[in-house]
Amino acid sequence: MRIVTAAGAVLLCLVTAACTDSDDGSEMRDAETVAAEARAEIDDLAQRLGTDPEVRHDTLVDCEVGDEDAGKYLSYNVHVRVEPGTLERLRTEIAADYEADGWTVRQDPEGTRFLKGQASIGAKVYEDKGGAAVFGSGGCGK
Amino acid sequence: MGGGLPPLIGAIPEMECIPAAAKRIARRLRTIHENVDEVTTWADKRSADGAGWTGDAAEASDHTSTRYARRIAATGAALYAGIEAAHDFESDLEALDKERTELDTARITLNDEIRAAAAPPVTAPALPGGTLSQLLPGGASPMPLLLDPFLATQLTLRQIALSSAIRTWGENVTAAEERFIAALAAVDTYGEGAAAVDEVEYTANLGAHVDNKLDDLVKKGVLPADVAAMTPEQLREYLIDHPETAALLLRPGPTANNKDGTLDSIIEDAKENIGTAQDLFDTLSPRDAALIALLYPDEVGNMDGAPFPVRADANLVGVIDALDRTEYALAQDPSGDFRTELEDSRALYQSIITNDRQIILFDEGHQRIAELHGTIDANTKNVGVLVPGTFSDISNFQVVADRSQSFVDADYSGGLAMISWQGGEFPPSLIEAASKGYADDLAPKLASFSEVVQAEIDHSGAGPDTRTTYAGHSYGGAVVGLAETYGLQADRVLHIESAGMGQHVDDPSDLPASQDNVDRYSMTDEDDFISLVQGAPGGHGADPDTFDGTTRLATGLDKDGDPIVGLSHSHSAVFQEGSEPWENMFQTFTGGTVTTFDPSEAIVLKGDSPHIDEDSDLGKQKVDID
Repeated sequence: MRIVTAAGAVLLCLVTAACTDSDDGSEMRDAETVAAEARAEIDDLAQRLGTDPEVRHDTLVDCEVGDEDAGKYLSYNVHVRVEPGTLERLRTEIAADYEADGWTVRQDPEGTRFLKGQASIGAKVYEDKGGAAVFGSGGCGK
Repeated sequence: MGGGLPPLIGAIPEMECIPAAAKRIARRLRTIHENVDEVTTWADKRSADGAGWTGDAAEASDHTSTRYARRIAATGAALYAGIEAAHDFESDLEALDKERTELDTARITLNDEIRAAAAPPVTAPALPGGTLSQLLPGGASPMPLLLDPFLATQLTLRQIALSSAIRTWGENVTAAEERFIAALAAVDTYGEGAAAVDEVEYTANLGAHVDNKLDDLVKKGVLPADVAAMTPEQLREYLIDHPETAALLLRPGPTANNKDGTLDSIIEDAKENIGTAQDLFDTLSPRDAALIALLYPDEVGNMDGAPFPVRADANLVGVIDALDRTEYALAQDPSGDFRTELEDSRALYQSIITNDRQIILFDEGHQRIAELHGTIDANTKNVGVLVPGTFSDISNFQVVADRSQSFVDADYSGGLAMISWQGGEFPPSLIEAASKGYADDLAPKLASFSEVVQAEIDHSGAGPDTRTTYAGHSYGGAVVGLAETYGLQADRVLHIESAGMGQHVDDPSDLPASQDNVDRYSMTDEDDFISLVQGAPGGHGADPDTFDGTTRLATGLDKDGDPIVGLSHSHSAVFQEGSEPWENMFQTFTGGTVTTFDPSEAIVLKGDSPHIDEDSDLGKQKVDID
C-alpha cells in the first residue's frame, strides 16, 4: 500500500509540472494588461447590449491555487438593463460583428459567448427580468 | 270571554342583546381567533421535530410540545365555533328585533282599540290627567260604559293571540341567548386561550432573556453601559471598532463565562439538532435573533439549523477577532515565513467585514470556512456547493469564493445561490494529496453540511423543485465522491478535474441507495495530468469520466477534437468565465443545457431527466439537466 501511495504521489507531482507550465511555452503577459484589455472588451459588449452598467465583480483570481507562477486571470462581471429583442440582437447582429472580427461564437441557452486567443467574454440575457449579465476573462497573466 | 273587554297588553321587554353588540362580539372573537391561529401555526412548526428543552428550559419546552399545538389548535377551533355562534346570534337578534317591532305595533294598535271600546260614547267627558291606561293602576282594564259584545269578543281573541305571540317571542329571545352563551362557554372552556397567552408570553420572555443577557454582560464589563440602547447594527459596528470585545464574546473568561442562565441553556439546547435551532429562531424577533448571534458567536456561527443570515451575523464576530489577531501576528513578525498567507488572510477578513459577506461556517483554528453567495429564498431555483482542492486553506479561500461568485453574478435571474465550502483541512501539498486521510475527515462533514443546506432550502420558502449541485474540484472531487458514501443530499454531483470518485468507490454499487437518483457529471481537460491519477490503484476511487452513469462534459474541444480558444489548458483555468468548461459548470449549477465531451453531442439538462436534444439550435445535440 505504501508503494501504491508513493506512486500516486509521483503521479501527482507530474500534475505540478503540468500546472506550472504554460500551454504553449510562451512568456505570460502582464496580468494587469491582460485584465485591462478584457475589461475593455466586456465593457464594450455591455454598452452594446444595454444601459445602466453595474460592475458586480472585478478581481484578479489565481490561475492555480498554491502556485503563484501560474499567474492570475480577470474575473469581471457587469449587469446592464436591456430591452425586449436584445437576445435576438446578440445572437445575430452583434455575433456577426464579433465573428467578422475573428472571434469564435458559441451560442448558449441564455446568450452568446465570444472566444479569441485566451480571452473569453459572453453575455446572458434575461429579458423577462429586464437585464443581462456580461462577463469574461482575458486568460492567465503574471 | 265573558263579554267584557280584555286587559291591555303590557309593554314588550326591551332586548338585552342587540344585533350590533353581537356583531362586535363576533368581530372581537375573530380577532382572537386570528391571533390564536398564528400561535397555532407557530406551535405546529415548533413541535414538528418533537424536540424539547431540558434543564432550566424544561417548563418552556413543555409549551413547544405537540400536545400544546393540538391544544391551541382546539382553542382556535372553539373560537371559530364562537364566531359562528355570534354570527348566528346576530341573525337571530335581527329577526327577533324585527318581530318585536311588529308585535309592539300590533300591541299598541290593539291596546288603542281596547281603550276605544272602553271609552264612553261621544258624550263621555274627557278623562282628566292622561290616557285611560295611565289612570288605571296595574293596567287593569276599564269597565266599559257601553259594551259591544261582538267587539269585546274579537278584541279578547286578538289579545290572547298577541299575548301568546309575545310570550313565544320572549322564549325565542331566551333560547337565542342561551345558545350563544353555551357557545361562548365552550370557547372559554377550551380557551385556555390562557395557554395561547402563555406561549406568547414565552416568546416575549425570550426577548427579556436577551435583555437580561445584555445587562449581565454590561455588569461584567464585557459590553459598554449604553449597549442596551444599541440596535444590532450599532452593536455590530461597535464590535468592528472594538475587536477586544469581540474576543471576549468568543472566549469569555472565568467571570464572564457564566453559562448557566436560562438563555444560555436555550442556546445550548438549540445546538442539539436542526429542528430545535429552527424552532428557536422562528420564535425570535429579528432584533433578538441578531443580538443572540452577536452575543453567542461561538455557539450560533456554526449552529446547524440557525438561518444562514444569522450564522453570518455570528461569524462576523469571529472574523473581527481573526482580523485583529492576524494584524497582531503581522506586526510581531513582519518578515516571517507566513507573511504572504497572513496578508492574504487579512485581505479576506477585511473584505468580509467591509462587504458584509455571508460567512456561514467559520473556525479559523481548524481552517473551516464557508460562504453563501447570493440568497436562499423563495426565488431560489438552484443551490450549488463548490468544494476546492489541494492547497486550500483560509488564506486562499478568496479563490474559490471568486469562482462561486462568478456563477451567481452570471445568473441575472437571481435564482442561483452558491456556497463555497472549505469545511476542514485540505492537503497542503501534492504529496499529501495522495493521502485519503483528509478526504476521510472532510467527506462526512460535507455530507452533514448537505443536510443543513437542504434544511435551509426547505425552511426558506424556496420551492420543492429547488435543486442542489455539489461540485468538487481536484481533491475536492474526491471529497464530494466520498461524501456520497455518507449520503450526501445532492440532486447533481459535478467532478471538475477531479482526483476520483472517492476512496473505495469503484462502481455505482459502492454507493448507498440514497444516491440512486443523483445525476453525475464530470469534466477533465485533456491536458490535465490529473487524469493520470484518476482511477489509479490505491488512489481516490474510480475515474469520474468513465464512472458508470456519469455524463462527461466538454472542457473545450471543437468538432474536430482540437482545443478551442478561450482556455488556458491547466488544472484550474477551467474556471475562467466564458470558457467552455465554465459554461458547462454554470449550466450544471443552473440546470440548463450542457455540452458533452463528445463534441458531436450536447445534452439538455432541463426536464425530467437528462436527454439528448437533437432539435436544439445551439449547434449540437444538448442534454437537459434536472
